[in-house]
Amino acid sequence: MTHTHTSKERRSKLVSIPKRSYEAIEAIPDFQDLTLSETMSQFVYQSLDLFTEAGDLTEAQLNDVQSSLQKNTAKIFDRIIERDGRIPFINRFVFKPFVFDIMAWQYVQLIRFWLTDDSEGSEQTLALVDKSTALFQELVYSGVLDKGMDLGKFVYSQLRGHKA
Amino acid sequence: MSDFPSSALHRSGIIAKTGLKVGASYAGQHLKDILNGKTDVEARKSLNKKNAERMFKDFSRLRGTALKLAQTMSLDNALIPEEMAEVMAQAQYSVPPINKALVRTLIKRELGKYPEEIFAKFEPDAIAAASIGQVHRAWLHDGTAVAVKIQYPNVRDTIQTDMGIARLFMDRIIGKEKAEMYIEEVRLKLLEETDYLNEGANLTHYHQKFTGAKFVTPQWLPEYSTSKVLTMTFLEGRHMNEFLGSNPSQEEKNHFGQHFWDFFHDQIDFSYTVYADAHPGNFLFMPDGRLGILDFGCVKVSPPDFFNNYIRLFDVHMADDLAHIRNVYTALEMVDPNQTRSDDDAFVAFARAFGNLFLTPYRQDVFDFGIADFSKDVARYGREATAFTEPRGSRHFIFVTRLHVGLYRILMQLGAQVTTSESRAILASYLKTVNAA
Repeated sequence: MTHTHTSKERRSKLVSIPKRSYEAIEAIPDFQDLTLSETMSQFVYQSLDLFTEAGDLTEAQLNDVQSSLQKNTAKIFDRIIERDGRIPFINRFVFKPFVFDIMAWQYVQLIRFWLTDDSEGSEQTLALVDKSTALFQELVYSGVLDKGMDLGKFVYSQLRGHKA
Repeated sequence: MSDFPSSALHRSGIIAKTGLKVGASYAGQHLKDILNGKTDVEARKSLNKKNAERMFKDFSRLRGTALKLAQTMSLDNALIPEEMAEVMAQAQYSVPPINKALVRTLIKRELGKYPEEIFAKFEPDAIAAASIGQVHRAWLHDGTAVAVKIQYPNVRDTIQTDMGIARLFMDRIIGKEKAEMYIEEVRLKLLEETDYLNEGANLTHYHQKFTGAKFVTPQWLPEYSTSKVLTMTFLEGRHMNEFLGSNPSQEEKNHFGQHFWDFFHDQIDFSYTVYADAHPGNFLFMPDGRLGILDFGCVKVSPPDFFNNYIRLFDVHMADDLAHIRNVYTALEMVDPNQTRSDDDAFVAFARAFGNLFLTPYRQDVFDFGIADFSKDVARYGREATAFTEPRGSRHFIFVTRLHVGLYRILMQLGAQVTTSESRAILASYLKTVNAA
């Protein structure tokens, strides 16, 4: 991983992108009606637009701001999950701080992918965002997480009983 | 886009699976027929319907070429079994839309601003989704209602992949060589359709000529358009299924049927240009009684010689002059001038009978397209046409015929009674000018 010096002003501009992206999508008419997948993809697409506006983002600069960028992004994902009333109650228990950190790391990897995407209009990135947010929604809205937890609890209780 | 498979591998995978399922189901039925020692017609019909539903489901996911083919197939129940055509006709109205977030991003990329910044109001839910794009309703700041058509990402790239997909089905249904010619024509047209600036120019061309007492077309708004986003004025009307669902009177059916008929004939003298996308989803029954015409991506401009010979078919069939019928079909490359094909005579005899039947409406001042026998006869001849397995005719024939066949199919579905005397005069006058030149 290459690190380089990024000016304070530019650094501040880049790391504020997650917050500014979320504020921008909050202003979209019918924002409240968006599904989780739509909100998350709006957020990522908006971020990409702001990174484009910021101009000439390099991988070195991304490396330089990665830590702060991830931290700020994790907070936004927390807000997105918090505001979504369609997520089953039980599934909310999955969303511990470390989960948001993983999601934020994936967000940065996506930006990395976008930086090297030479398809027309970055269509490969658009597709990747679309497919991954759709899958994420499928997991979060469905009972898969709930059932996974149920299985985990069962295995845990069996193991405890076995040990006892 | 979450449901839009854009990679070659994914698209091929979907179609291969569908092909296997369809192929296996026919093989199973064939085996049953052999074991039972007879052909179970009802079972075969039920299988056709089931397979069409499978194909429609996959074609809808694939959009692009595959869906276009479904639309085209639905126009012509001579090419495919009737029960399949019914299912494929769904492709004329709706397919699943793409993600709202993606729509917003695509507009920003194409028009430079987000939809809420460009328009006074933009509906994020698509009102129609079809083969290569989907349509959203919006309002300009001056209050004008507009339709914004957004092209699915990566559509051009998927066209090549879809050729293989289309071949897989069409080879089986209409034979390999014929399918090749048909698919190539669709491919070229579909590529042309992906250029929304070209469609905008077509819109303007048709708007200037046709918007008036009988027809209305949207007006292109180039300042809100690019090659992938097309903005035009919005037409508020009913589709044919809604119109027929309202139990219209025979008079209403005749009224709109006449407009359909006139739309075709008013294009006879229009620089060899015809609207080649005559499926019901592209027409609106307007509250003021006019016929609304949508979607000008598929407009066919023919070489003059081809077009004039196509129109000459009217003359030679009306006169039922066998020698001239043969000459015109030869000029249209449907019959070999050197008479090397063994089935040319059979083809000319068939074409004579079919053409004469097809022109029945012109032999009366008023023709009733609701006559069941006429519809059955046209479908029967269409099916018999597939017995001539060799590809015949220039590629230009395909799209011009598509308009004619599409028009007849719509009129038969409407059950309209149409006055044909004026159109006869239009054709005769055009031919007089052409022949004199």
